[in-house]
Amino acid sequence: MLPMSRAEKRILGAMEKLVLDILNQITGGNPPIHETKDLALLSSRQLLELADQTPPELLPLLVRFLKESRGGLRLFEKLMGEHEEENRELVDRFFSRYFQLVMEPSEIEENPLLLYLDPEMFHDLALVQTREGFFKRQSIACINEFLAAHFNHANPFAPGEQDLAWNFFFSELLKV
Amino acid sequence: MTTEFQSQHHSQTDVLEAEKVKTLRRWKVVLYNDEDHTYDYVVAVLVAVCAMAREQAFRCAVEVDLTGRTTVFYGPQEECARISGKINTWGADHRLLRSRGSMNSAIESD
Repeated sequence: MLPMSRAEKRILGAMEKLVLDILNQITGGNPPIHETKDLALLSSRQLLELADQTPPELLPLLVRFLKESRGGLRLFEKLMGEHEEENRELVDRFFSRYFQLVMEPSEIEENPLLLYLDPEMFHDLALVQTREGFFKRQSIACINEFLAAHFNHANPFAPGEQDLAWNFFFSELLKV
Repeated sequence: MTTEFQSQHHSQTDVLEAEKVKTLRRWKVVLYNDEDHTYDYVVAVLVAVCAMAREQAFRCAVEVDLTGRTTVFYGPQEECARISGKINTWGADHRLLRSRGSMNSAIESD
């Protein structure tokens, strides 16, 4: 049996070949795309047109391949359309599509603390400590809801008492 | 219609203004890439610390991911140091368990 890392590598390699084949079909083989490094050879216009025609589910993979092609700053300049006005529409559309695909919605209905500070993390104090900034940036309503969900906290904290709330939270963890 | 005097006056003003802008933009904050932070994190930090629009911050996130670095702010040295300090102490990315600290930034003279 192959070690998992090698099996994973094979699956990723096969997937990469599949996606590169699709990208090659999109360009009609002109220019040909057989390896990730071929992407770095595309002109700005060719790259943006390819991105424009790439199905949404494959766009993050295309960006990953671009990263792997190690085109660096030159590649990013191409994605920016070489700052040419004639490419602007394609540039805006690429960033807009990619943004929609990879970013969280700006308004998350769920309490971020309940979503990301799972009780399973509570035993790892070093990890929890790295979330101090995240905790303190939340509204006091979110913090009170979070503390009420996990601890017997009868008196809610007032707005601006994020520091006190954090101290309370951490002292509760130390008791466990 | 512009007189010769007005024209000279304008060009002197333009030079002074350009010098002023040059002085103000002499320093910049450079953000460095790592694999322990998400695009969401970069955007949130740049919106909060550098007062960028989300779309602009997103382009910086893509740039830092693809190139390894991106300039996120230009300004006087003190202001750049303040901005860089905030980025470097923002804290871990709560979306990733492996994230244990802030991203790194530094100030450079332009």
